[in-house]
Amino acid sequence: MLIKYMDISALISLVANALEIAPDLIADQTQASEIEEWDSLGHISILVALDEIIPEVSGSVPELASATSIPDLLRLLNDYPKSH
Amino acid sequence: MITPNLTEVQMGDCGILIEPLLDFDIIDISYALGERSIDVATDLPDFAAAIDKTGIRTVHETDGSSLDLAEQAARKLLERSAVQHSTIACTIVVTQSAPNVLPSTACLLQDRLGLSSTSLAFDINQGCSGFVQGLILANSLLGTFPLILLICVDTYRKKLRKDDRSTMTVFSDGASATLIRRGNSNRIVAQSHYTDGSGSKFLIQPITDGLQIDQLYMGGADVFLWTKRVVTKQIKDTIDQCSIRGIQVEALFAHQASKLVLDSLRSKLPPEISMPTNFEHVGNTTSSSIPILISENRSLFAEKATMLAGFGVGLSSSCVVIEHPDR
Repeated sequence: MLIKYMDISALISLVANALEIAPDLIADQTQASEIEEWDSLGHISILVALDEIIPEVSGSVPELASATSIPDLLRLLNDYPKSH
Repeated sequence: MITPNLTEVQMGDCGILIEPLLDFDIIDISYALGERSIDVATDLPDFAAAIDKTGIRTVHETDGSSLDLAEQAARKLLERSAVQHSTIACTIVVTQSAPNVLPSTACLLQDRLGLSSTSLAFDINQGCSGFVQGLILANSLLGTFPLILLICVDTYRKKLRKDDRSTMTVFSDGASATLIRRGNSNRIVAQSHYTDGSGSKFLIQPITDGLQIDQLYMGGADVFLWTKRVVTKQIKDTIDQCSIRGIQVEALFAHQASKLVLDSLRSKLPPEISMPTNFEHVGNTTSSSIPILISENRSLFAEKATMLAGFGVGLSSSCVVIEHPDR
């Protein structure tokens, strides 16, 4: 399945929603270590939220589990159509 | 009887073994949770938001040792079942919280309970898949040892970093005791196993310099994705293989990891398969979670063709399908 490009603002909104924090706490270069709620449990919530808009993406891109920043997530998501 | 198909055992990532073992009875199951109940919302207020994700409202913690909890669970079981201690021929303890590096917890428990000195007693170092593996092992030993005590016990809370929301709001200290004998109530008709030590780093309590035991680390996202990619497929494949052979799995007793994990698994399974849960008030007791779940849902277990599925640290995942020939 070809996944459309995910833009940074959509990703930030998704991550903020999954972490239950305000979107303005997250920026283009935010690292997980800068956000208290972005711990192991928060990261699972992000993966679940991603699966809701891109079915099975977390199962298809295991590297998403180790992504530690917004740029990491964006790169992996936008590489997804090329490698899968 | 379904003929063993050795080709299948060797095939795929999750070889499924269809080979009935000796029929057995579970005489009884008892359990003991840590004496201190922790209400996540009120006792861990900084972590309260985690409840929406984990689904776990209460976790249980003990000041005692794993041996103490194991003894509590076993004594309840032995008193209730009125079994003579001297007739227990084998004790298997599944634990990753042994009070000593050596000797084994099973040997200490033999002494605490006053079990026969001519009985066999040993430990299995395994976590969330441990009950299923212990049950299979006990089942395979029944030909020689007619009455077997299977203990699962862990005190993971002693291993946790107090600031780690992902583990502090999930794990409970608990023990279960299961008494198994030859009988006609249960028959293991299929089993499948998956082991991948390359994933050990995702759930680990390392010993550094051969001396210092560190705290537990859980890469929750990695373990979660592994359950989605591997465990869910293993469970579905096993259900499908059983179905092809006329065995319809009606209930799944899955390891009570957390709501996130079980919701994900539930969404991939046929809706007609019952899937009881108790994580909300018990928490994740690692190897004890399945026997505690059976204990709370005895009629469902006794009346339905049932799959037990344990998965986690190792990484390790084991499933069995149990039918009830006398139903």
